[in-house]
Amino acid sequence: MAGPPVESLVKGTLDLLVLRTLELQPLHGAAIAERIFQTTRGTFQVKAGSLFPALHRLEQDGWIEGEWEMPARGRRIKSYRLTREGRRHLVAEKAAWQRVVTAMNLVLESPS
Amino acid sequence: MSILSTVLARIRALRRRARADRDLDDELRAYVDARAASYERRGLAPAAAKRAALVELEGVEQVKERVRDVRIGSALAAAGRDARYGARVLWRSPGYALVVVMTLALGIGVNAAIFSVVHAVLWRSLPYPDAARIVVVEADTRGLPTAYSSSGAVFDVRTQSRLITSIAQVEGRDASLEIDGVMERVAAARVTDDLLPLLGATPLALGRTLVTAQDAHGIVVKGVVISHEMWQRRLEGDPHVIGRRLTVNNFDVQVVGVMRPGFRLVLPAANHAEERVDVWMPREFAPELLYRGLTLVGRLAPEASVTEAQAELTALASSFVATHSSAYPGGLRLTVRPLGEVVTREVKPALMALSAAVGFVLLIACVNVANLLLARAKTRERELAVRRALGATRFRLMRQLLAENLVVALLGGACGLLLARLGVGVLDWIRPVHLPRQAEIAIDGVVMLWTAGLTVISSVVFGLVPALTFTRDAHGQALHASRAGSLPLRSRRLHRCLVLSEVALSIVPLVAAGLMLRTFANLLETPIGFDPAHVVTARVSLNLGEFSTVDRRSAFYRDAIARVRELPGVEAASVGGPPPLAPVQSTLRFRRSEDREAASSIGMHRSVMPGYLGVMGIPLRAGRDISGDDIMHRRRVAVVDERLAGQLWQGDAIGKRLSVEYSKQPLEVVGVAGHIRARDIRDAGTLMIYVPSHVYEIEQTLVVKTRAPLSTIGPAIKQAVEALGPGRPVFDIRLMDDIIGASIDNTRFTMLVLSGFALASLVLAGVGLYGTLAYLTSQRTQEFGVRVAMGATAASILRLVIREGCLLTGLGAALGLAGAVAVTRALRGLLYGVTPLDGVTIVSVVALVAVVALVAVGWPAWRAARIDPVTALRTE
Repeated sequence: MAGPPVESLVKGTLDLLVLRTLELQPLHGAAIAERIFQTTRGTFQVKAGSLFPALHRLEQDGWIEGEWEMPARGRRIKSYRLTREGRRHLVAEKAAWQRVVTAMNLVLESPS
Repeated sequence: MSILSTVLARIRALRRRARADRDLDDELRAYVDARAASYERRGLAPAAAKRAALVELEGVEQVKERVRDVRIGSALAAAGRDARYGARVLWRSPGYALVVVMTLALGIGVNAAIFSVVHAVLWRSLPYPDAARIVVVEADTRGLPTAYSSSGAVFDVRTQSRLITSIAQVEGRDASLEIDGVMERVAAARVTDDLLPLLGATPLALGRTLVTAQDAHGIVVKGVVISHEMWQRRLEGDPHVIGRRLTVNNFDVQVVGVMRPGFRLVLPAANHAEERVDVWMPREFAPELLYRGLTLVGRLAPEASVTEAQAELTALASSFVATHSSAYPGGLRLTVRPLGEVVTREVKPALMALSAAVGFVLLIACVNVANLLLARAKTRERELAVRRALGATRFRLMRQLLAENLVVALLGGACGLLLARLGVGVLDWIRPVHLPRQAEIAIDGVVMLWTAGLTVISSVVFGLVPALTFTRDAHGQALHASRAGSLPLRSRRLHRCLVLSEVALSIVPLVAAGLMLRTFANLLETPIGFDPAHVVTARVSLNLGEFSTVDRRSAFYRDAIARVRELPGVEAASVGGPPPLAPVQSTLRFRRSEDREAASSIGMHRSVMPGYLGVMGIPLRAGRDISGDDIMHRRRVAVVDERLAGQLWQGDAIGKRLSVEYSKQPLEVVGVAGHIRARDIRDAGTLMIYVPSHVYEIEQTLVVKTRAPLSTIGPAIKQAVEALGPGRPVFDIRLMDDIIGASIDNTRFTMLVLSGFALASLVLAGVGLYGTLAYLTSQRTQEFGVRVAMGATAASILRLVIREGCLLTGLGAALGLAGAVAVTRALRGLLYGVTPLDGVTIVSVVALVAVVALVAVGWPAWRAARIDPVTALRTE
């Protein structure tokens, strides 16, 4: 673990994380949270209270779409996958994020 | 994802809220199950795992609530947030806000003002029950359009038409009203029995409506109905007023009824009736074939349409012509039109022109604001790009921008309403004479609602292009653009397009105003054939009891003229009427006595005393004037105008005989006078005959040539004539110049208002041109610096900027002229002496726009030329 979990995500970061996670494969809510937890080595622990609003918002924006799956046994599960538009959006968002990071670094690491 | 589908998705979301809730439940349960399973894998007991999963969830309901917020609440909450944010943004840049709000206030204000007029005058139905069924019947006989029908035809229509259930005649005029020895001139109307019930005036506030059989005896009026206002003002609202005796036009009459408060008589302009009639007098329906000139109002049967009634009247008209062929030598056409349409016929073209003009003003204002919004792109672009990068969707940002615009627009609309109130006051001050229902013009609920709608639409119109442009930047280019860098090419092109369209839009109202200005100047300069300078007119109404014979009346006119001539400062005086270009004129038909079968000509007459032609400055071309002897011996003579002499006798008219309507004996032509424009300055063709006052007795007018000011000579004339004895009131003392002025009031009104709007659009376009060029130039400071550093001279920079400005103005002007050619065609009916493609107007407008453009372009160009390359390059 690279330190204690970061509770408050920068606004918009969560969207990026979710989109990136879904880029690899369609997942359902809990799986998305776990994948983010694992990938960030525990830095981002996404709570249901943030995750589900984000999922629904992204779904409304059309970046992702949900689909109900009926497993042979047990409850139906809603899994999300990235739409074509979402994929395009993610590319743009990644680039924007890179610039934010660069910009932030420039500020933080500039000689005082 | 388009906005539309987002909106639709939201609507669906609202509709399927229950299902969505169930779905969300399932989703969250699945989540808890999955988390619990994960805890179980880590070794917890199933129950403990489930509890841990729930604890981690921090409350199912809270999560659901937050998701619901996203689903439904977001739209509503965001709107409020957007508005607050928008207000804050404006607050931070008050200068920008002020300019935008004022620009919009001007654009919306003029529209609200004109709309309030159009709404009151053109659109609102007349203030009568079932007003759509009230019609006007017009009769066109050859050469005399909209002459209204003769009483004979009316009589027949009344008895024979099935589809027009009631028909009434109205004659608007003024009257003298005397109560307890205090006399005043009041607006009066003589109406047939059916009129008041037809207009829904019955039951009256007090008493009964007029019944000719009881209230009149021939032309002698015995009973009148008075207005509520008059009853309150002069009779203190006396509840026992019915039966009270008054003196109207020197007749002793009794009050039989009091109208309901606020009742208005709205009639076609040709009727010359006031809307606020104070005294209603009875008028008999007489089956005469010849009397013409009265407005004929009817009410359609409940099941009849105007078209059906028209078909019926067309058939009736041809049967009239068959039975009375001598009365209708040129045939007869009866036309049925809704009263509302006829009332507004004269003012509609002008109002439509004004509506179009204010539309242009608003469009220019919107383009101006759009330009300003774009110019702010530099600061806002970065902010928006950052928000975009942090996850705001394009739709979200667009909505934000549109909400900001709405805040500005609403402020502008509110100021616009205030401006419109002022505007309505100004309209009242300019006061066009023939604008019907002027008293009803007000900023009321409908106008406010319309203004609000217009405001919202404007905010979308001026905000959409900038909003689309701002939010297009999905890749955050703005984030790494250098601070002082040049604008992207696309944005510059957009600015230029907007400026160009602004110039084009301002050309159209300018050309329209220019054409009206030329029309007005033409009307003022048209030779009218007489000399109105220093002529004072005063009406005299003789008491027919006192002056019961023709000779007595002639003697009175002689005495009055003699008295007035003695007044100091009076050069000449006579009697004759009606005054040329006054609203009421009398037409008649005449022909050469020898050709009995020939169709008669239409013309006008003046009943005059000797010396009238001299006072009015009408030249005598041949023969002699009417003389004192003609009056004394009651000779049937006439002076005809040169056109008539030319038409009937090839100019050799002296000694010839003229047969005229209403008269069995022919008139002998003794003189030929110069032609005058008597009905309308625009109308050059009206023929005229002058007859001694005893040939056609009418209410007369004193005409006095004097250099004394009206304020001293007016009372002097009144006193001199009234001192001769009772029963000869003198009133309505006016300068002939004012009568002529009033006759072109409507043109003056349209010209003034249109010029005001044109000026507004010119100023807006000038400001827009200046603002945009100054902005575009300032954005190129660096580029110019580089150019200068590379050896460009100040003159070449100046040329560069000016060329850009001139190119934009030139293209805009060309585009605008093309538009003007298409639009001003509609003005044709309002113009006089100019064609819509008037070269002088077009050249002047282009020159004006060029001057404004030069000023607007000059300053930014000058600044650009003085750029110091070192400073410019350092702005980085």
